[in-house]
Amino acid sequence: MSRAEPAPPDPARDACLALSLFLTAPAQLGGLSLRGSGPAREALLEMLRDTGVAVRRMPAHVDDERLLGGVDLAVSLASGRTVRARGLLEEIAGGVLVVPLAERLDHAIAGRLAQALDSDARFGLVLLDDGIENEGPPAALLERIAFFHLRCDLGGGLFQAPRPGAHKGFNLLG
Amino acid sequence: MARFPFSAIVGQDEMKQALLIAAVDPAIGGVMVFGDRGTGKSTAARALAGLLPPISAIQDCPYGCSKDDQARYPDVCGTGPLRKRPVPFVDLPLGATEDRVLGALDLERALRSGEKAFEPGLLAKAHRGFLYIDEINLLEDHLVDLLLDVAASGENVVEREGLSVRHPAKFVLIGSGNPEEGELRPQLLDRFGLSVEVRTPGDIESRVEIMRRCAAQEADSQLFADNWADEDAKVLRRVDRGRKRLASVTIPDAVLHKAAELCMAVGADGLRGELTLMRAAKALAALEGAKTVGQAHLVAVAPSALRHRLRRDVLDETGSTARIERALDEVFA
Repeated sequence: MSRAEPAPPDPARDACLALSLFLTAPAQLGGLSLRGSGPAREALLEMLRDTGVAVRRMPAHVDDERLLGGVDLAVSLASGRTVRARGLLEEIAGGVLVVPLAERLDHAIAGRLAQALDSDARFGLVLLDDGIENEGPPAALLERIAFFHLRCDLGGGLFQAPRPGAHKGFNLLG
Repeated sequence: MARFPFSAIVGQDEMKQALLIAAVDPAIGGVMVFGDRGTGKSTAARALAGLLPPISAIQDCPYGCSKDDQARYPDVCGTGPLRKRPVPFVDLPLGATEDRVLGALDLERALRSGEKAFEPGLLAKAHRGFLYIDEINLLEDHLVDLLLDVAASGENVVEREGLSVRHPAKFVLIGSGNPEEGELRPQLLDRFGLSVEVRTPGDIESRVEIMRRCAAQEADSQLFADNWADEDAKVLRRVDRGRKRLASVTIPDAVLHKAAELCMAVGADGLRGELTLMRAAKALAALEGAKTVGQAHLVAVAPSALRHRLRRDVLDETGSTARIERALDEVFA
């Protein structure tokens, strides 16, 4: 990765800029959506983690009990009173929830996330969108986040003609 | 019964080469095997896993964690000493439930002691080994999603049934399937670094030899394995040497240029074609004990690295392998 190389075409820098802006106020800005998997997106996620903000990954198979919280049966039965277990959305307060395969996200889960963003949200969303062609994250989420359609895949326009040296990775921060 | 030795598999050189490359550099991201039934696909993958040197893992760790994993995931693996264990080879059946794949609440312990414990699933078992999926194009969509996520992130995150668990799950994905029986989602296909086509051998000699070897193996699998032990040891030495050399293998700029030219000539989607081509050529050079990657390495891996990344051309109904061969002729003319 040489610093002397000219800045790469803009999508990567846009994504970087959006990430920095998003991190100034994750909950207020709602989130960002990163389209296209690859080393560029991994680098962005690495940047995100390096900032020290709490980051949790929400698997697509999350259930309501873990997402929204519910009764902790084992503890409740043992203690003889209802004990509530916190859900992922509470646990991530002040942090960032990463949603992989956002283009495949179940609409019911998308609805719950949207509702959580509307009522005093205390987290930001990072949608990882691996869609191709018309696939994309649910509109209910896209309209609630500040930054979307950030291209960070290696193909489709980011590099039209690969230059020598492009293989070695590129300098995200330009 | 002793397993079928890797070196005793007749022909299928491209598949064997791809599997060895994946063994040298697991970061290449798995091998997809297209082709006829009964061509030794699962035998070859199984044989390779059996041949590789044992991994050293934390004793009794259900995830087979290494020392590095232990540092990254202190909650999931014990603190026991390191012990050798065979390289895992896990079959993922098409009908597997999500619970079985991801892991789930250990019901027995929950009922007996009221304790909320995680029972690891197939993804945990496959960590640092091979995950083999036969007829992968028939795999249900929700399982494909789950695999894509784990294969991309290298860890399995479970948030259900009151459990919140995160454990490492890095494996070499080996898929096999027949494209005529259903398309593979492009995103899944893209995860595979290499793809190979296997055909039923077309010459009588090979077919007879296969029958001979299978008969010998069925008669006395131990004796058969012993007879091939030396050949297998040779393969193991190549893989071992390849792994050690991989980091120091260099690629001249001229070869990188050719790789890029080739990808442009065949019209490969995105840049992942070049990247895989480069990595695979490097792994092959390491396997062969070369210090630098040469054009021959590039040519040898090009079909498997690019075959599944070609944009469909409605005006060109030529098969992808033929298109790559044509491009190879042009670029290396």
